[in-house]
Formats: sequence, C-alpha cells, structure tokens
Amino acid sequence: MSYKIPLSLISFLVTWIVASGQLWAFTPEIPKTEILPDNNGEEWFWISGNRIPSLADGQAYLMGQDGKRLGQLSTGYWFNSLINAHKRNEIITVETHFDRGTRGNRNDLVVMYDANNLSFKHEIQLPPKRMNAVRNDGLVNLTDDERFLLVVNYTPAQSVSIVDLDKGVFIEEVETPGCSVLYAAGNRDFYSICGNGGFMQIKLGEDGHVISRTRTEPLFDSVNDFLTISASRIGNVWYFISRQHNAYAIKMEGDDIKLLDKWSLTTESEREDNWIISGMKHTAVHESSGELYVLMHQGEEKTFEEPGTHVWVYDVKTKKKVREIELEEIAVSIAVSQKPNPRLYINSIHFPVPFLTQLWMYLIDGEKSLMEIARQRASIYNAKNGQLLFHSDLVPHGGFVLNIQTW
Amino acid sequence: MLNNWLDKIAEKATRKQARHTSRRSFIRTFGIALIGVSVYPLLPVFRDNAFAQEPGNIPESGDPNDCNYWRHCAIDGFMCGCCGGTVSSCPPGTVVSDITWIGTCRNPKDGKDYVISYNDCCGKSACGNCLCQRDEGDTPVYRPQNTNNLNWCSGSQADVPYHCSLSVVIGVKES
Repeated sequence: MSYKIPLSLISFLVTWIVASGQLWAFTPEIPKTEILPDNNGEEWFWISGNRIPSLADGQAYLMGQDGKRLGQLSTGYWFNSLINAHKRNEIITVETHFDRGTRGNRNDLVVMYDANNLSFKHEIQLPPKRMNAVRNDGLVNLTDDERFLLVVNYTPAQSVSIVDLDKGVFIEEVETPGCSVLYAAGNRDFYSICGNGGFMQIKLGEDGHVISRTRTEPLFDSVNDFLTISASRIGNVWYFISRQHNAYAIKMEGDDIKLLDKWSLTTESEREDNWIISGMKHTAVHESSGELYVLMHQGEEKTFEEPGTHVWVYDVKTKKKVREIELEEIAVSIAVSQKPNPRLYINSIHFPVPFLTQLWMYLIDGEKSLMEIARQRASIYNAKNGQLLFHSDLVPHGGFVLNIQTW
Repeated sequence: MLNNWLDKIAEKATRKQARHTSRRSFIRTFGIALIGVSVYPLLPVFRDNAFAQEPGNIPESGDPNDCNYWRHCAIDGFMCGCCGGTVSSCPPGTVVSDITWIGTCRNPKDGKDYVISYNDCCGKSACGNCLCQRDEGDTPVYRPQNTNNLNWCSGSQADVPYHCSLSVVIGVKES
C-alpha cells in the first residue's frame, strides 16, 4: 500500500519551514559545572570513609534527600573526619596526603570546601600526627561557635592540635597523656576521655591557646564497664554506651562535668538472649524528643563490632526502651536527622543478587563468596515508626566506608 | 497465596542468612578494624628487636595463611603470607613497624604458650588479601594498650601507610 501526498502540500511545508528558520536553528551545548541546589531544609546526608583496602583514596559522598548522589569529596589517606560547618558555609575535612602517594612528605591538612559547590577553598597545615583510627567519633572537633578546630593526634604519644579557622592558622599542639578523643562542652571547652575512666578538660582562651588542662575523677569503670567512643549529644549532655551495655548520661558544660544518670540498655531476659551493641557509629539522638538510638544484634560479646540487625530507641528521661526497629539489611553505622518527624539513616550492607542466587552461592562456596559481592548503600527509615522509606544509590566499588551522617 | 508464602520464607531466610552467617565474616572480609594489634598484650608497647633472639625449632601445624592458624590468635589485619611475605617476613619493599603489640598464643602442637609480636608491614597501600580479625579483649582507643582500632604503622620509618601484619614468635613461656 502506498500513500500519495499532494505536491502542493509538500511545497507549502518546505516553504514554511525555510521561511520560519526556527527549526533549523542549532544551539551548541556548552559544558559547565553544577553547583549544589539550594538545600531548603532538605534532608541531605553523607556516606564517607577510608575505603579500605583503597586507603590512599578516601571519599565522602553527598547524597540528596532522595538518596541520589549530589557530589563528592576526595579526602586522601585513611580518611576519618568530615564536619558540617554550616555557620561558616563550609565543609571541613582533616586529610593526609603523601607527596608520592604512599611515600614522600606527609601533609596533614585541615581542608575547607565551599558548601555551595563542594570546591576546595583553602587549607591549613597541621603537624603530621593525626590519629589513624578505625572509628571516627571524636577525632576532630569544632567549637560550638565554629571558630576553632581540634584534631586528636597519636604517634603513639597522645596530643591535640588546635587550629584557628577564622585566621586560617595552626595555633598549637598540647599533650594529652593518657587521654584521647574529644567531646565538646561549649565554645571553648572540651573533654578528652582517658584510660583511667576520667576525662581531661581542655579549656581554650579567646585566642585559641590552651589556658588549662584539668583531670577529673573517674566517672566510669574503665576496666569492667568501659565506654565506647560513639557518644551522642543533646544540649550539654553526652549519651555514652558501655561495652557492658549500660547507657551513661554525662553533663559537660564549661568547667562542669557530672555523671547525671546510668541505666542498662538490656533487661535480664534480653541479656540471656545475647542482645549486645553492634557496629561502629552505634549511637544517635533525636534531640527534641529526647530519644537515644542504639544499634544492636544478638551475638557473643566478642562480636560487638559486627553489623547490627536492629535499632533500639530509648527515652532518655524515662530510661525505657520505647521501640525496636528491625532493619532489612545489616548495618554498620547509624544517624538520625533532627526534624520533628526524623529520618533514621543506616549505613547498610547489600547483596545485589536475588535470594535464590545468594542461597546457591552460599551452599556452593560458603560465606566468602557472598561477601565478595557485598555492596554498601544507605537505607532510610522513618525513625518514629520504623518504616523503610527507600535505599540510596550504591556506594561505588573499590573500598569500604564506615560513616554516615546528616548534612 | 503460595507466592506470598514463599516470599515470606525467602525473606526470613535471607534475613537470617544475612544476620547469622554473613555478619560474622563481613568484618574479616572488608576490614573494618585493622592493623596488628594484640588481643592479649603482655606489655603495652613492643619495640622491634627489644627481645631479638635466635629462632628455635618451633613445632608447627596448620596453614599460616588461614585465620585460624595458631599464631594469629591476636592478629588484626591482612596476613602478610597472602601478600608476598610470610607469617614472619614483610613483602618486598615494605618496612617493618617499629612499634607494635605482643600477645600470647598457645601452640597446639606442643601445648606451650608463645609470645607473638604482631608487627605491621608499612609503606604501601593495604594488601587487601586474607583479612583476619578477632575482637576478643579489644578496648577503645583511649586505652591504646589493648585496642585494635589504631593504625600501628604510626611512628614507623614508612609512616602510616599500612600494608599487612605479621605474627612473629619472639619468645616462649617456660613452665
């Protein structure tokens, strides 16, 4: 079958197209670089870490409210710490770079990135001593007014480097023998946790120099009920948990440090069922509702760093567990946003094959084959009712990252 | 109906599998915690050669590249035997860490307790093969004498680039 088009119609269309000229206009594309969209209160978040075994290539991935990637920072060797400095409109990282990859001069740097476009702004040189630790809590601390930054060192001598962010200079290094990671207690005060169960108060003057270091009496039993370093803060109270599954509420405000409260995370029957803490960053808080979130699983005591299966939520006033959130995928670290209806962010392990394939691999080649295909992603839950909202984009191949934190 | 039922069975099985099988090997495989740190340190810091002595004839059993090998009772890192070295020698081009932790492991062959130094090999990026980690006795970094959460290449001649970990017999506990 064929159609006949009147010659007059063809003539008319050609004339119209040529005359108008519009459809023939060609506008070449010009490559450009995106800037971040306005945040407008959206719930962005970071996934970041040292990417073991690719330790020389630390990364931080900025994810949008929908879990899609917005951008990335490249953060050097054995990356630990990212700070959102929103008052400064900066993202701050502490990075290590060697002149020649894994050799040459070591440069430890405080690096400021523009929070509008994630581009490098400037850097401040530090003594090349910053602690390379597996966990990230408390290694880098910002004063509440975002003026000074404190970085924990380990050579293995223990000390702290202090930086003036406004002036862009390293101020000084102070020794903290026997004490390590830091917890902020206002604009000029920090508390460093110590091996004897006490803390060392580090008080800064207005110029950022240390004006006093004071050791407190022990606030916990550092042998029989020692605290993990993954603490979370509501106002001037830090909530710690111990490896023996107790919660500690410790007030830190200026010169004032006091153990306010202590309670068990587990009941006797839960302990009999081997419920223990899990993962790396295993606490988070929702400040306005006074809720403490703790990552948990069932296992032997020695499995305390293995990924968790549940998040248990406690009311810090009543010291009671108010709900349990069962996770769809095992979890390494957690974070909670601070809106009235908060989100629970989970750094999850994901097996990207159907269940029957997983089963087949497990039966044929055992656990190792499954772990070789394991990937990571963020899982976002409604923190109030435990409903899974969605999973994020996958973390790229090449290494493993431990951190998840809000924007 | 059958599909739903199968779905639920599959879901439960997946969760159970994920929680009770994969989790245990997850850290070993991906290396959350690292770096030759003793679970049972006898001294807070072992400086290389401080106890140097001629190696004796140690009765051996097991595969040194298996995480269950007796000397690895307190190791935490990539086993150097999988990286071009051996259980007591670093791979070519790397540097033995100056500072490390020591532990005590029982040799099943003769029933004796041996002092093991878990030196790290430093100066190249992580080996990536044969991660072996145990957390018994691990403490937070504010008690570094017992922690496996630190990079013990810190302070070495090659600085912090961590490659793998050794399990070197440096002494024997005489009964």
